[in-house]
Amino acid sequence: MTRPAIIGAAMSRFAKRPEVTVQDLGWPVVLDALRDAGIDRKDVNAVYTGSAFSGRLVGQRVLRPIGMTGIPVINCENACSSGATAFREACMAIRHGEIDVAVVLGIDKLTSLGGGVLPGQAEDWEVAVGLTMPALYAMRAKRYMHDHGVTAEQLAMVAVKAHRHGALNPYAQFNNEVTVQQVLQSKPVADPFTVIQCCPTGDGAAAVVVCSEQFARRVTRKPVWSVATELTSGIYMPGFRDMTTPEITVRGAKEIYELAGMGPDDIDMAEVHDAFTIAELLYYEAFGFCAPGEAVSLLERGETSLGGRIPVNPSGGLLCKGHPVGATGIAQVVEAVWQLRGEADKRQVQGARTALTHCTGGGIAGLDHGACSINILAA
Amino acid sequence: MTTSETHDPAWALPDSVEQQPDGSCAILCGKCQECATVVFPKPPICPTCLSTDIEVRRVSEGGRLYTYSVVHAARAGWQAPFGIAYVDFPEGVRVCGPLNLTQGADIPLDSPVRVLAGTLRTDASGKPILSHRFEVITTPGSHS
Repeated sequence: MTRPAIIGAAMSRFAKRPEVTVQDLGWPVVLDALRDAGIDRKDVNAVYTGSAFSGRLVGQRVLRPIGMTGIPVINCENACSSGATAFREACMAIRHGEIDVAVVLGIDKLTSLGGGVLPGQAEDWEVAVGLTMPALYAMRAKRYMHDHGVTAEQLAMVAVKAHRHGALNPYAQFNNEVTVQQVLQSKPVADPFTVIQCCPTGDGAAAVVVCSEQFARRVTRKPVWSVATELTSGIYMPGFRDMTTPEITVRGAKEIYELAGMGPDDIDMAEVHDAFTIAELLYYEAFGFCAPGEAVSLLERGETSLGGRIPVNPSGGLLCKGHPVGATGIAQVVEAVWQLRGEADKRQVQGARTALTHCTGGGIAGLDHGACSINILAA
Repeated sequence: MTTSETHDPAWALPDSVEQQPDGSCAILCGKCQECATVVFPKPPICPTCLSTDIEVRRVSEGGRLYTYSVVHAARAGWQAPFGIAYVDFPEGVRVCGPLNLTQGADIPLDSPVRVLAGTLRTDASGKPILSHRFEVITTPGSHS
C-alpha cells in the first residue's frame, strides 16, 4: 500500500461559456495540471473522468486533441459527486499499487442544458409531482429554520460569506460582494431561497495529477497527501427521516475521521457542498465543526470566514465559485492543494496543513442524497 | 391509443390516491405482507425483506405538514409558483406532493393536512395530468 500524492492541480475559471465545447473546455486544464506536476503526458497510466451532463466518452473526447490515447480511461457518473468519485477511484488504484500515475478530470458544461433548474429523472416519483433540487433544499431549510429559530436574514449570511470569499478568487464565477438585503431582494427561486442563495449554472473543468508516494518523491518537494478518501451512497429510508440531519454526510464524516485517525479539531479548512445556503449550515454540524443547532452562531462569530478558526469554502464555494456539476469535486481538491501549498494568494488560509473536501448530491426519492465523497488532504 | 388519450385521465403517479364515494381522498401505499414495511408509492418489491407480496393499503387521515416550499423557478412545462410539501402520515409514510396555497404562502409546519386529487399540470398537448394534492386544514380562529 502506498500513500497517494497530488502533485499537479489546475482548473478553468468557472463561467458561462456556451461557445466552448466540452472537449476544448477540458484539454487545456489537463495540460495545465501536467505542467503543474512537471511530468510528461507519457508518464500517465490512466485517466479518471467525472461528469454528470456531458454525455458519453467525456474523457476520450477531452484527451484526443492532446494525444493521450491508448490508455485506460474511466468515465464516472455520480451526479454532483461525479468528479469526487473519479478522484476516489484513482486514489484507490494508486493506493493498491495497480497504477503509478493518474490524471483525474472533473468537467461539465451546464449552459448546454439551456439554464435554469437542472433536469430531474422523470421516473423519480418526487420529480413526477414537481420536486426540483432547489425545492428539496428549500424544504430542508424551512424545517431547520422552524426547529432552530433561524431567520431569513441569518440564512442569507451564508451567501454573504461565500461572496466575500469568492470576491478574492479569480477562478470564481462571481467576484462581487453582496449584502443581506441584496440576497433577500434577489429573484425568488424556492421559498425561502432567492437566486443568490442557490449555486449558479456554469461551465468548467478541474484536473489533478495523483501518483504513488515513490513517484511523488522523485518529482516534487511539495506533494499534497491523500490521508483518506471516502465514498458512500445514501441509505433508503422510505418513511420519516430528519431532513435537518444530512444522513449521508453525517455517516461519511464519521467514516472519514475514523479512516484518517483525525477529528474535526484536526481540520484547518474545508470545502463543503454548499449548493444552497442551508447546506453549508447543515454540514458545519455534520462535520462536527459545531454542535447541532449551533451552525448560525458559528457563522455569525466569523469562525468559518477567512481568518476564523475553521474557514469553510475559502474558494467561495458552490454558491459563488460556481458548480459545473462534475467539475466540483475536483475543483474542491484543487483549492485544497493550492491552500496547502500556500499558493491561494488573497484567500490563503494562513498555516493550513490539513484540508477536508466534501461533495454530495443527486436528488433521489427516499435518500438524503445519492452519493457523497469526502477527502482529507494534508501538506 | 387515441381512445386512451381521450378517455383515460393521465396520472403522474398511477394508483397513488383513492377517491371515496363521498368525494374525500386517501393516499395509497404498499404494505409488505411478510415484514409489514410500508412504502409510498407501492413498490414492486419490499426493500427490507425482498418479498414481492405487497398489498395496496389506504393511508389514514391525520397527515401533518413536515415541511414545504413555494416553487418560483420550475422546470419547463410547469406553471409556477406552486406549493410542494412533504406530509407525514400515521402509518410512518412520508409523501411528497403539491400543496394548495389557498391559505397563503406562510403556513405553520406540523399543521394538519387533508388529501385531495386534482390537476398537477398540463402536458405539452394541453392534456391535464392528475395527482394527489395536499391542503392544510384550518379551523375557525386558528389564524395567528
